[in-house]
Amino acid sequence: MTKPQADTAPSVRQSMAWIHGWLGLIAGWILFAMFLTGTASYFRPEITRWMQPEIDLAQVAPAIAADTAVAHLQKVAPSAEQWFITLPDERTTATRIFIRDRPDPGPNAKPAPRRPEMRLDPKSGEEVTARETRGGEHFYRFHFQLQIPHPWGRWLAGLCAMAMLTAIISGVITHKRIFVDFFTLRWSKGQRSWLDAHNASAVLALPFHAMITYTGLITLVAMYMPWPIAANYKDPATFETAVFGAEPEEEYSGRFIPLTPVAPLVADASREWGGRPATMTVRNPNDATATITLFQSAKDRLNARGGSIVYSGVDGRRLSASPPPGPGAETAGVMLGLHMGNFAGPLLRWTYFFLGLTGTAMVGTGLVLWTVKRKRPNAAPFFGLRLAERLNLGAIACLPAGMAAFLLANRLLPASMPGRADIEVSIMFWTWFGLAAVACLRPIHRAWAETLALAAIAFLALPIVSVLTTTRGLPTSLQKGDWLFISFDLAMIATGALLGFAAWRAAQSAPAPVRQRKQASDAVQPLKEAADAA
Amino acid sequence: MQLEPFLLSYAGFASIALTTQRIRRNIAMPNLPKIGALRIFAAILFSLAASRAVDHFGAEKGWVAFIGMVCLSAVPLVLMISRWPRVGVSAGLGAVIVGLGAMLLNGAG
Repeated sequence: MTKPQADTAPSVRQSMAWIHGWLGLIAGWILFAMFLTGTASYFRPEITRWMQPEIDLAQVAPAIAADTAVAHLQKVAPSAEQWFITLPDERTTATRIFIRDRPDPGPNAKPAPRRPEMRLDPKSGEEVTARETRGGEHFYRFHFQLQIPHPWGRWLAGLCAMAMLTAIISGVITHKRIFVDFFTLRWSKGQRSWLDAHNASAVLALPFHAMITYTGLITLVAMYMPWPIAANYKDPATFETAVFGAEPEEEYSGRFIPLTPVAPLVADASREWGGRPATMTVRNPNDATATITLFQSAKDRLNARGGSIVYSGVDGRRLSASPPPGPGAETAGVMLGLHMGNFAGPLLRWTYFFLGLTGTAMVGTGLVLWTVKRKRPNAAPFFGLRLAERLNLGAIACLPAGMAAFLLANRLLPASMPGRADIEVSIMFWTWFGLAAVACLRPIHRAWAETLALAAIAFLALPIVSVLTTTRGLPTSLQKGDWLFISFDLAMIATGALLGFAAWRAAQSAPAPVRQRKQASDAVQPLKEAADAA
Repeated sequence: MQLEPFLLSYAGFASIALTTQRIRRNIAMPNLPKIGALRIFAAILFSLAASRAVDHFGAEKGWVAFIGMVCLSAVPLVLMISRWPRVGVSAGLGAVIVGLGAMLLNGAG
């Protein structure tokens, strides 16, 4: 008869706790960076606008912006193969255009060289020049590509997101007192406080954490699970056409017919959708086969994948429209929309932002909790613990410093410096990893306080540097009522203050130096002896 | 006012917080309502918050806004309760007054 193993086998809760702890730790450092940069990218266009202070444009209706953009393109590239126009909205004030030139007709001709994207004043159609920068796009791209070449960055981000989803589910199963502890947050109680902070940040915003993780995975599901498409479609492009429809691709005829005015088409599409178009492509402009395709903006609806309408570029006739999305495409579009939050107005965007910060706090407190839990008062930390401590410091304290350095570099590098966009990004990573390396040379408690203080100083320096290097510093913005710049500068001050508070708390919690502790224990000794005697 | 769902949710959570013995003990306020009444009041406040969110943001975005604001409203409450429990719970009363006041004004408007 075999001996029952009930006593020795771990319970479900214990198993889940083990999974939660280890998966959370292994993926945690990357997840922290994904959460923090992803949270920042809810203000992607606003960050870009702050990073290009030279661009200060008035808003105009999309139809006017489309007209002025086409007028500009008619001047600079009337016989291009295709024009891409991104229309401005209340968040991105400039029109963006991209031209694809027609390749030479010869059989061995090289493809036309790629032209850079241009920004236009939507009112006048004149080209706007500003400092080169990746802007908020950098944080957005980083949060799912991790600055690693395609597809490895996305794969790594996906694996971490899968770990996160598992950690969320196992965390809910592990947490015994989920309702009892709902309002519990005890300060200055060591491990207990970290556990409370981890539970509070996780449980209070649990629906958001689950949604953002799951929808993040679904966004790239075709990459992580390509087999259903591969099994049903010989060519993946056929799948795209079946789901999203296809643009007509008529051959260039060479017969000149001037392009029809685009403003009435923009008005027509806006009427049909009950919302504005976001982008427009013009194929074979000024040719008998010209077509104009308008793509619906995701700003008015939860579904991030809007429809499209194709018009004739000759007489403005409506040629076709994208098929109505099936249930699968609609669900995928809504999930993408929920993840990106493009539909959100200012209040909802701030809600997304703060919930994202709660998620960042959840991962950060979880990472710290792992190390605090394993520390023994009178024992030297083992190698794994020391490594985790240093990696925690590198992720939690050094990344914000790197992000501040990215923004500072934008203000301090000469505006006309060639390649400055890449240099800004490099400065972020050099600061992040350089600081993490330097912090390894310092005792861990001091390193926390010092690194957080440095990050705080860097954020607090941003509004000052902005005053000194641009004409859109905080005092001027306040005078002009430039709310984007005012909000940005105030957000930097608030971030600096928060990091400063964290630095102060880290300095407070640092253990007393050995000499002092010895003195303290010397003072306590007679009391202990007296107590023993009693 | 678009913040109504947030304020009403904050007040709803403050009511639920008052149903826990630990917080009732910590704030040590006399004449606290009974736990059952607080639970019913919280349910009413959350229902109103949902209704206002749908009203402001539309049926599609309203539910997202409601869930987002419910999640977010609990964060300042827990932070306040951890340091100044009386202030945190009393702010719930302020939130009810402002939230319901704005709701009535909107209704009248």
